[in-house]
Amino acid sequence: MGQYQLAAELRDATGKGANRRLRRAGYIPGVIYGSGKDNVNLQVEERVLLKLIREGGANRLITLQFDGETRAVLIQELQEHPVQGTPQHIDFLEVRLDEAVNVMVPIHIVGEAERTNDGGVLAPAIWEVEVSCLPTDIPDGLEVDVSGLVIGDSLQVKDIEAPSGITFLTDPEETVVSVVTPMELVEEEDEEEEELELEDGAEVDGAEEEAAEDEAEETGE
Amino acid sequence: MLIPKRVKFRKQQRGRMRGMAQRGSTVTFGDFGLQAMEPGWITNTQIEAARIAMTRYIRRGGKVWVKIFPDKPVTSRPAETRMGKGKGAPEYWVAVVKPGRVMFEIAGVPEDLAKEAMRLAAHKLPIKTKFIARETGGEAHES
Repeated sequence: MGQYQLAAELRDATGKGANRRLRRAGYIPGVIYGSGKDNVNLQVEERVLLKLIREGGANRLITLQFDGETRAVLIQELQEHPVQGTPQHIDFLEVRLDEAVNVMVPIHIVGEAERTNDGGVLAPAIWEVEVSCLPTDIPDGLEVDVSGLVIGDSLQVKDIEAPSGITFLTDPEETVVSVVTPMELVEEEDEEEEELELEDGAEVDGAEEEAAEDEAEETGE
Repeated sequence: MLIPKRVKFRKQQRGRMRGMAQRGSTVTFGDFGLQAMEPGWITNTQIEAARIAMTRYIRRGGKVWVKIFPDKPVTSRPAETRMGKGKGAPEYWVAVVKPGRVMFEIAGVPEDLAKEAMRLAAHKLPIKTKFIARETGGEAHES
């Protein structure tokens, strides 16, 4: 099946306390569902899972082994801690190898160094596109060449060359990347001045109060 | 200065800041972000000061996003007043920020420039922060 392998174990304990104990022990609680089968609660080793994701397995077909079974799965959702960024829970979606799946594929921007130096700034609008393809055909990423772009130009999803067997589900007119005029310091300063004038006008009362406070404190002392 | 255009009620209760950010904890628009590590109220002047510090440092090129908005009014009582006589007048506006919230994002500049710009911006804020990179673009760095 897939080039990515992952070993998991069955998980009996459920709930907040049990899952916290699992995470402290270096495991991530998870679940597998799909293909009309019953859900199975699993746990995977955090270290192994992170290595697999680092190697690009986040949106690829994975061969999951647990309890003597082997299933073809995709990572459906990975919940992360909002502050530490560590994985908290993982959902595996079991897929059939002969049925197309919808997955998000990252966009790789290439040719930035070759672009003419017109002072423009590349502004990616989206970072990944949704595609439909067989689980075995999911690409690592889709390359977008920006070497020919100048300020004001943009590339849409329809400009990306689709590998064979892949259909884009994202709107073809959606902008992927554009080259915009850089932010100028001069404009910023003008803006600030305007704002300061407004502040002065609007906060006259506040300033007077502060002055009155200071006077009162001085007399109090 | 950031301020709501219209509000339904002029004064609000203070509330509590329990838990962590439930959304807005990833870098979504730019390449790098400044993430809150503790809860706090960020006033509109602090947001503006941080934004100006960042844009001045990167000078030209790049783009900055401010992902928080001060929509909570804070009231205070005039000095030398006795207790009672109702709640004070609205004085300023704050954004309630919980740990994990990505407050600012930056794109179109190299990492070292973005990191320094964020460091300068962080000095304008009343909470501990962390410089983070987009997940597909690199690792997180403590600052």
